Amino acid sequence: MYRYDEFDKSFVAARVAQFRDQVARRLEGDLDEEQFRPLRLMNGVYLQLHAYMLRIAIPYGTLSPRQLRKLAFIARRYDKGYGHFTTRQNIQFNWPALKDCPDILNELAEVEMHAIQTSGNCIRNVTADQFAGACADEIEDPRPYAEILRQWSSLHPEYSFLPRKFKIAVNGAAKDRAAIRVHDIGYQIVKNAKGEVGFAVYVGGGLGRTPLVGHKIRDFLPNADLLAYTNAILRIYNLEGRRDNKFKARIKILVHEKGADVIRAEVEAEFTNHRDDALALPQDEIDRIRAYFAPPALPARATTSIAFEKRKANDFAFARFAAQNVVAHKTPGYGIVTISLKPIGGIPGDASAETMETIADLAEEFSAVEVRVTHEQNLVLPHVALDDLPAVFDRLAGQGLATANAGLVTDIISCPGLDYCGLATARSIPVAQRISERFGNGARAREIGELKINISGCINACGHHHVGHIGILGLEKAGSEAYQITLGGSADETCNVGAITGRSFSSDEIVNAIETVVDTYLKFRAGAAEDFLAAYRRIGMEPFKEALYGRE
Amino acid sequence: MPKVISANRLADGIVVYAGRDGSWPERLSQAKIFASKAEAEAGLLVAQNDAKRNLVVEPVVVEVTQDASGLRAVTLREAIRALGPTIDFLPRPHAFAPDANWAPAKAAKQTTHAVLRIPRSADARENDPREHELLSTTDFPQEIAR
Repeated sequence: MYRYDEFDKSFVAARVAQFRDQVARRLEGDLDEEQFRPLRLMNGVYLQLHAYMLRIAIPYGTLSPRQLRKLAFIARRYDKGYGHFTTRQNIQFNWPALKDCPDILNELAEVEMHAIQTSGNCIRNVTADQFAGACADEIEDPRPYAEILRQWSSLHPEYSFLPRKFKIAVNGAAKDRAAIRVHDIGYQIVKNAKGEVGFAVYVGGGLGRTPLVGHKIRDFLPNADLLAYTNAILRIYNLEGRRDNKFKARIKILVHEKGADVIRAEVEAEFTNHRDDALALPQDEIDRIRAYFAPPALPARATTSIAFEKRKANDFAFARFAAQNVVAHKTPGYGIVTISLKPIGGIPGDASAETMETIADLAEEFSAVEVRVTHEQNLVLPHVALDDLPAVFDRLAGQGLATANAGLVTDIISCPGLDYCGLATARSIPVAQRISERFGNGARAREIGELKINISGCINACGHHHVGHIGILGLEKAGSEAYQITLGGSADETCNVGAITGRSFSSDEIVNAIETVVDTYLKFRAGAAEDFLAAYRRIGMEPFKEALYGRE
Repeated sequence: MPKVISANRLADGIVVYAGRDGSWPERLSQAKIFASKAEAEAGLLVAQNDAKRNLVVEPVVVEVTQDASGLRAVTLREAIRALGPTIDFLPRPHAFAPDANWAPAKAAKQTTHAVLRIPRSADARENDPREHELLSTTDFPQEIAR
């Protein structure tokens, strides 16, 4: 993974010192809240319902065990013993004291981490496929490009005061696991007819109160032009993005209002005019960054692992875990292990300090010293030998971390909701917990098969409800929580915004309503091979509407 | 409807209420009650002064009800601010000593998995010895005690 050079080190250290001074001035009264708020937000510090919240960047979701142990230390020393992994592959601490935040940032700097640009109207943490560099279906590892974008965009003077926040995702595999079409810019790595690597460029996707799927504005961008093209898009957005209305300020509104063809023409013109600028990426610089992400030297193994096969044959729990949470690695004899942070009835994305330490230990022993964070709020051991999988499974099971539900009905994405968030209009976590308990992780969950339920506690959609196969949006209706259901959303390469079923449901009704939707799917599906999304796309909304509301 | 004034403490962000003696206690039960809108607005001016003195952040007037059992926030948002998250969010202390030998099958019963499990039938946290102020669902207004 990427290691800080001297410049990075001094850059982050200077930032910590600057924020320490700002916090001291705030506590002493030299800065008032109005002056201080933008400063703390630029360093990832929010004020939530119960306390401050610190959001820490995990660039493209890649962590070392050392970093994960530091997060565990911070959880224990400065928080209440846990953290929450987010849908931007970041981690949030819910209870830090403002006076401690400079010390926390200092601790983070020791392990090459920071909270820069985890908030504010700037280019946020660049996300990528959590299986990057490991998965069998990859064209190229997206992380070197995400890292180049991170370096270029950090405190970029031209883009520190954009009309609104700006999110970029890079995906390197045929399967889109980075949800690139619901990002301000989505880069999909592709190969052209000559076999050269470049990007298909999507612009103007996003969720929030106006969910829109991004438009492809270029089929092939040579990789050397990554920054020049990103710069062109941002220039157009920075100039033309609406600053008169916060709710219409994202680039998706600009693209929607002017049309993708107009934006494409403007971006291309800007790009052509500045193509020879200093932003062309030299191949040796790409290679230098790429070297940090070189695949680990994994010892050669037989494609079939006897230890793995034997355990699978004799242990149903292990076999289920292997089938559900382990996917093929590009190296024969290895697998990619998803560690679900969604125990049945648990809080999606929460991890205790002990959990973080357990996973750090496992990464060190069994996964080439690497951990990944998924935007679906799970953790990943990317490089595990199938021979080692029984041992890894036992260790995970010993800590209650072997829930075999990756991609199933209980692998729910949920924002913190009204239990923590000052913007939320309803709770999300308790709804996720109740749904998880309703379906459990037994035969019924297996029968239902792949199903993504995403829950947001307000229209800002941090829980990505629009792109859940089943989405749940928490609202406030006459002083009570109400939940709207959307169906048919998808964040992958078949990206789609879900459609609203109809009137909302009360907190009492919502779990039954979700069960009705699932039962309707089971009733109408063509067979076990037709998953929820495929069935919905075939049969449409009507059967679900009728099951939920009758013939109203 | 009676009102209280709430804010977050500047240094650590913890929820506080304007108290009867000019202090900012953490418990709603210790908040000063304002009977009318005019009184609450006068109280808010005093609180804003404390914000200027860098004691608290963003003081606001919060509507409450009062009965024999004490004060309750009217809105769900303020009830959650007063009582803490409605979920069992705290990891329990590790079930075994770091150096102790342990067998996975045994440990599985009482570690993180068990910690993160919330028995829905008992959203309750009565007699919970943990440090954060956690109360049972009976302390929540009826309409939100789900």
